[in-house]
Amino acid sequence: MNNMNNMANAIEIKNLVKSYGDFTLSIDSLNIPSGCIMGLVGSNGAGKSTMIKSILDLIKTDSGGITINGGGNRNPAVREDIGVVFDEIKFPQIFTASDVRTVLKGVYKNWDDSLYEKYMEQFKLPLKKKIKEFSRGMKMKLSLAAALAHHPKLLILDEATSGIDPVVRDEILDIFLDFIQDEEHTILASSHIISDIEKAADYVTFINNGRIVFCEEKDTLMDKYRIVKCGNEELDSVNAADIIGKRTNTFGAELLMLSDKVPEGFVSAKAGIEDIMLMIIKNERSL
Amino acid sequence: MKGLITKDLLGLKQVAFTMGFLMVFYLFLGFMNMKDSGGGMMYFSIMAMVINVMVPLSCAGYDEQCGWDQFGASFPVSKNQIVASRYIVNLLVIGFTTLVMIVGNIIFAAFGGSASGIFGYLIPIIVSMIYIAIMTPIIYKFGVQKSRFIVIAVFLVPAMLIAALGMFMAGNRSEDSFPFMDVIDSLSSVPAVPAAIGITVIAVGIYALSMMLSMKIYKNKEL
Repeated sequence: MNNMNNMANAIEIKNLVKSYGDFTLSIDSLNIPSGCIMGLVGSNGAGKSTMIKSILDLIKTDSGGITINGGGNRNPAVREDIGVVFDEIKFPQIFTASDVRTVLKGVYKNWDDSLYEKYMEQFKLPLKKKIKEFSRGMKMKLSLAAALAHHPKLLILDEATSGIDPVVRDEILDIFLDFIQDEEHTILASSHIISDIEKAADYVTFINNGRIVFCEEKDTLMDKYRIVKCGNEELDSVNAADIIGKRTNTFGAELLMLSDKVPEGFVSAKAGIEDIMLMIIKNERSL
Repeated sequence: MKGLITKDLLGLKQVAFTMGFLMVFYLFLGFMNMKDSGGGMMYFSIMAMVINVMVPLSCAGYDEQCGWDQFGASFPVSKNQIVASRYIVNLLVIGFTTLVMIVGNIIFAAFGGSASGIFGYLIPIIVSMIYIAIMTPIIYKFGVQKSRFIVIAVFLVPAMLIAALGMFMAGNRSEDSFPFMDVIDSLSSVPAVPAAIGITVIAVGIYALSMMLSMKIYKNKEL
């Protein structure tokens, strides 16, 4: 997180606390730099949606401050520059894409009809068909077009690609990559589909039990950890303090370790985000 | 705020069929009974009240179903504006049904029916405004599903108490006297125009208070 402090930040979170009885989201500090795609990963109930809701001021936080592009997250002028896509389309099912346009035209000052129509053509979405007749992929494409057609600087996606087939997901990821070409643009995307995060994200924030485990540049993260495969005898020779996560089987174990801690002579491979995430969660649960 | 109002008005498509059916149904009943004193208009007044009350409840239900509240709250509008837009839309619906009542009254009068006075229009408007004023903060606080029961309780319990009290009072007087007839009789002696202005001011005040209460509830609501 510290290496991001010298960049302009799209989102800054400080001392955020939100409690729901037995669950507490607690973020001391998180800066999301402008011009990047930040992937937010974590298991169900880890706090991803609570964090996104806090950013959007959909819930009342207990304490802490959130700024977006330098302004308060409740400021309507700041919110003009935010596009949001949730896991489900939030318009009434009886609406058409044309109705969506009519409504959002009255909401956003920067609404761009021609850009919306361009997306409608690109996504092959009919303007006059009711949303309830759309497939899930079409609904998400419509949500994305609606979120992008007012030229937002920040795009927030909460599980937007879940339940969509790989072809449509790939199409949507291309739109994200196109959007991010402008260095003022930023995406914060929470997803369970780690492959999407691996493919598109520049940074990864891993949240578990309401706390940020790490927030790092994706490439740095991938270089930082290794998966070490070893037999049962070799396992005994590894310093237990260096093992971040462990997956055992009959023949031996797979260990998550920092790259510079891998013992000489051991076979190791690059750790994927999913490996890192799963092994850290497993390790925390076993403590 | 324009977009929020547009959304609610476009959302009326969801209840358009029911609204249309109610209008035709009560228009028919009105025609059947238009020779009676206040007959045609009485049915149209019922129609107006049913629609005025049903529309906000249905729209809130559909919004809850599709998660609109969460999405709408991410817009560049304040939470107060979100609440205010809903109250404005409810007034627009009341305006629309009043217009329908006026047209209906003209039609009935053209066919020889009895024409309605100012209270024929005012009572459905006032009753609807007060009902909406009570119902809306409850919906914001508890959601549509729970609110249905709470709203029934809010209206049923006082109604039953009044009925019970009325029966008790009637029991202590003559068998035939209608409960609270004295009160109703005394009200009928108040001049029409000041009475109309008075109840309108009271209804507008209650409506405004309700909106402020809803704003307070919505500000603290977890979406």
